[in-house]
Amino acid sequence: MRKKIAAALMAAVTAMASLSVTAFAEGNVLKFALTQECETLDPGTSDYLQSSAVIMNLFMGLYMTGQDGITLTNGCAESYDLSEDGLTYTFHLYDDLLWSDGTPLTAHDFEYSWLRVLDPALASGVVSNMYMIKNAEAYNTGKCEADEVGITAVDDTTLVVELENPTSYFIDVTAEACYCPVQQAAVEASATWSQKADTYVCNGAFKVSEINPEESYILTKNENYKYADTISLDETDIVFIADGSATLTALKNGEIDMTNNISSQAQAEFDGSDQLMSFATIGTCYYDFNCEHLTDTRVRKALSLAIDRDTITQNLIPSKPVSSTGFIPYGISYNDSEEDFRTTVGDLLTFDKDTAKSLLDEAVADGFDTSATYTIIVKNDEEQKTVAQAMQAMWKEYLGMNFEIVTYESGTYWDVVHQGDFDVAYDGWTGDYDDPDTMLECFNQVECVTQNRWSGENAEKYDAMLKECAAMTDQTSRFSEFVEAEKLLIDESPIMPLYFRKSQLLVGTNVTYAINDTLGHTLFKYTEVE
Amino acid sequence: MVRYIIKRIVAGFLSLLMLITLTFFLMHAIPGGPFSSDKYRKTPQAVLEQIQDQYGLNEPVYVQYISYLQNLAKGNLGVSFTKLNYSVNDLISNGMPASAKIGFLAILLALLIGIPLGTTAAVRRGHLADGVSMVIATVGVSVPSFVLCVLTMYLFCDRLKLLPTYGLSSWKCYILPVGCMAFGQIAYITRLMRSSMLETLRQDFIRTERSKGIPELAVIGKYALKNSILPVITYMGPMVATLLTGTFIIEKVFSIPGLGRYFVNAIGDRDYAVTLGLTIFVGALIIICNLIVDIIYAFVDPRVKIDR
Repeated sequence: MRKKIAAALMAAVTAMASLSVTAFAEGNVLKFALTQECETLDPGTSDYLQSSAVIMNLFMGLYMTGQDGITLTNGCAESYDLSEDGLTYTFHLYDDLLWSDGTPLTAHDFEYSWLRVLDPALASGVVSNMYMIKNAEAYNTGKCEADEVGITAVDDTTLVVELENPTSYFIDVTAEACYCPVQQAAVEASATWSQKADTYVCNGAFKVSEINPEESYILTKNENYKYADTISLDETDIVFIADGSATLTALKNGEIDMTNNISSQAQAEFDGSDQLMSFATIGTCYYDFNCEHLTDTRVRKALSLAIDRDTITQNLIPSKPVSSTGFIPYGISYNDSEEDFRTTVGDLLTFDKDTAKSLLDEAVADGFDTSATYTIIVKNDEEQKTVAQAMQAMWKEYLGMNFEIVTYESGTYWDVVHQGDFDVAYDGWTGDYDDPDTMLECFNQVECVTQNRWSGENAEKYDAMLKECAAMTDQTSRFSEFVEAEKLLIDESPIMPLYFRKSQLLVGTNVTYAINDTLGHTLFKYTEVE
Repeated sequence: MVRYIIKRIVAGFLSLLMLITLTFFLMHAIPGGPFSSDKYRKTPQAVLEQIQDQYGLNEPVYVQYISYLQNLAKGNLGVSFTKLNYSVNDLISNGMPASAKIGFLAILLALLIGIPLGTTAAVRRGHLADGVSMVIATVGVSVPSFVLCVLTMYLFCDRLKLLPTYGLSSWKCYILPVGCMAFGQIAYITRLMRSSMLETLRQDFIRTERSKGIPELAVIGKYALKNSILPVITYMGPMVATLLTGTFIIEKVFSIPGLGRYFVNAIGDRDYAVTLGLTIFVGALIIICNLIVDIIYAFVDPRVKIDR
């Protein structure tokens, strides 16, 4: 009997020992924590940051983001030609491209994948990112057939794309998730191809070895990746930890190596440390003014001028983002040059309480009522509530205006905004590509109806300027038009920019290189660990 | 007996139908919809319409209700609105194993500790053992589980670095979540057991057994326990159902890939299908567990006649 027990114990010990061995896999492994599982791993339908952050490591488009997280480098395409009129792109693909299952990847795969996104039956939420392609919108809304869309694979390595208008940033968007190819055979074999590791086919730096729902994704290096020899990691384990303090503990204990879920506690603990990395993001946090309630431009301007942005961003927001000096954030280049748009244009926004007061006084003289109580609405979020309280105090102190703060749970917040039931509302926008249009487009008349309700002569002028920009081929005049459009936007103040967004990573001491791109995607293919 | 069971099953179905109806209409009455959040800000209105169409959300609510019931009759709980292309059945079968494992261990732990502790407290009433177990029980009932979770994580993971922080990859991962989940239950079962045992010990038949000279341990173990365990069994019905399907707080803090997390997230996301699916699933489980408990009654205590 005793022998039996001893044997059983021995077996148990060996089993446990083998368990702990598998926990430390061989080679260069990165453990990365996300707050929650991706909504989808299908690049054609992914319009969420959480999903595309993983997808960008599994797929490669015609072009892709380079090691600095900003510049573009070759992906599947070796080169492209652009027609005189700026409407037709001819992409020349490499002839040795492979899917992760070893089968060849050709220009036909791109044609299939892009048309798939545009197919009304897929009902992809990101489809409008492709509307610059000729007849893309028409096909997506059922007004024409697929063969009329300007996407043609001439042969295995040549893809011809016709656009609606000359689009100088088109090459940038070919790096986006929805422009990545998916394998027709895999997609058509199973509607749930992107949910299981054994049916998942991709063409990027990593392939999917395991999908453990709500627990982890195990990504391993894809030997069939075109640039496989540049990848230093053998494996990336993405684990899902919802709780911020648990994530911090796991990082400090070495259970994970890297995360983008940074609690305010982590923010305080690692403030100033190399382990807390920040990356500029093309995005701005702003507040909408309801232009139907605050009809006087001078009032809106006064409100914007009376906000001391640096006090808010540096003292009240744990991540200490850069205060907005305009609407377009840093990170967008001016006319394809080395110059940054924001630096070139300079500051359009300042804190000037005296000008604010005199503007308000003028408005009051014309009948604006300062005795009423106005409403700021925010989502039920600590940071937003704190910021709203600070703005409330500043407006009271500098302008003598009374504001009340109403918070809504995130499920109803946008409905309240869309119904226009506010005077000032929290909002934000993140762009997709390196062009001012990616930011400015969010205030065209169609969009404004559902947010700040900006209308009238100047709003129409703004719209016309953006439309003009879309059709212009001369980049110098196009960019000066953008500058004017942004000035008009700030002058009219249907919105009040607060700060430029940034993305962050908290890394373990063993991580020697980590990078987020300008959209906030973490690129594991460039990550290095010791 | 068979007639009784059939009657209970029919009643169960009716309550389930009421539950579905209520949840369905309440869920749709909450302001906001599954596609009005941040995530869909960049999606053009026409495309949003298309997406809503695919999920049948543009139909009048009563039409949606009828088609939901039709699908339900086929065992199809619908498709999640937030996890693209995942059916609610998939989500339940993915999440259930982890929740059930933790829940089962917690139930086992709660019973194995709660019953002896409550019994000891009753038998040694007024003594040290009673005091200690009542302190544990009071603490257990009054400390909310989120405090316990955060506190134990801070102590064992952050400070002592003894246990892993997330996941279920090794046996060590089970210690904290199972412990935290069982703690409150231990407290409740101990109190139930103690009061019921005290009641039983005052009964005449116990005095009779004692007077026969039967050893005290046998009196307690053989006669008193059997009679005083009924309230615990009653309590087990809903307890088993809720513990097996996971708790939000514990699954969130310890990153357990279970069902509990879906509940709260689905309501926040207005994921009608997931909310409804989970409600039905848990509702059905509670009804089944209660039925089983009633049947167990008959075996534990032949005096209980369920065939009425």
